[in-house]
Amino acid sequence: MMVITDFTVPGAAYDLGKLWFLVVNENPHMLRLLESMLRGLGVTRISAMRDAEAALVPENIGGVDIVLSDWMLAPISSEEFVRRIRARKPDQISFVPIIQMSGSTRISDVERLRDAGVTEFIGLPVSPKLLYERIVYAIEHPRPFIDAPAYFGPDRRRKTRKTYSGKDRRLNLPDPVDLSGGKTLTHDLAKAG
Amino acid sequence: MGQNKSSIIINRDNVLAGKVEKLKTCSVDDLIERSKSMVKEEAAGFVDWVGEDIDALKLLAGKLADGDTPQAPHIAGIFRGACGIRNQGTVCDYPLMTKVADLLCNFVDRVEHLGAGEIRLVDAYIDTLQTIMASRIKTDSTELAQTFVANLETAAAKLRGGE
Repeated sequence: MMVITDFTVPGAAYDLGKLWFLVVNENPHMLRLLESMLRGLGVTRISAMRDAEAALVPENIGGVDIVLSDWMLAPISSEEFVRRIRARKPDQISFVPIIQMSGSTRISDVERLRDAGVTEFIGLPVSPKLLYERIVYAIEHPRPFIDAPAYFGPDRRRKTRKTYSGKDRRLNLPDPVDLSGGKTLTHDLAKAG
Repeated sequence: MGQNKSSIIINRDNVLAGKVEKLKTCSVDDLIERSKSMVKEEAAGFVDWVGEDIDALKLLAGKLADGDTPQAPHIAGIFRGACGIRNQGTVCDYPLMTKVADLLCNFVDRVEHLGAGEIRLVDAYIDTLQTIMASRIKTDSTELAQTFVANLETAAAKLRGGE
């Protein structure tokens, strides 16, 4: 009989030491606080940038695993920042998970950023617990990407509405594309209904 | 219809999951405690650096009364600065600072012009932030703290209510 001994402590945490974070925040103090928060969570590789435009330079953003972005950036807006990352398709970086911190309670603000291609949101004020939970969510629940004429980014649908009574236009579509197998499929939404 | 309605759904390998594994000896609670402790260490300098942020707010507020330049960029700057203080106040355990900065954020959010009375109130918000910092008042539950907040809320309601 094979005995598997697992020495992992109950509720074991993820080792985030191999992930590279790009943190973009206009405020130098908040930037330092976020760096401390991430280091405390075990992150060792952090690029901290105040200038969102400079953060987009390939030497700064190329190869990062997760982007942690503030909702008020300079000299470009957070929406523009996210759009420009997604606009780099088919580069690897265009698929990077973007965790967006948002201090706005307006749904329209959140929708604008979501439509730009944000992956996950964290409501401000941020805490180590909230940040860790969002990172883990991005690790455990990667979103499929949608490449449509007017949008490129993570699937914006978070859940299936049980009460939705309209036509489900994706119901009869073939299975999603698995790029790991090198296949690509094009779904024609007009034909699908 | 010239619009191309094609849409591709792309599922990729889970790159992040491939780079992480569970720690053998550290629980989530331990990790979060460690992070809190590092933030606390960093936050020890909060009252020193927030003084710089409040000075920046004062500078911008001083420009509001200057009729030669449009107010909108200065108001936007005050909004950004106050939002920054609001967020840091919570992380650094200064909830009263957060509360007052939040009131200021709401007061100037998406406003393009402020009248004389409103500018005086912006000054009052900033003076209150300065007092909180100088006196190192953390909690928002004392009578004094509640008076600060209530006075600012009443003044804002009067101005915006048109009284």
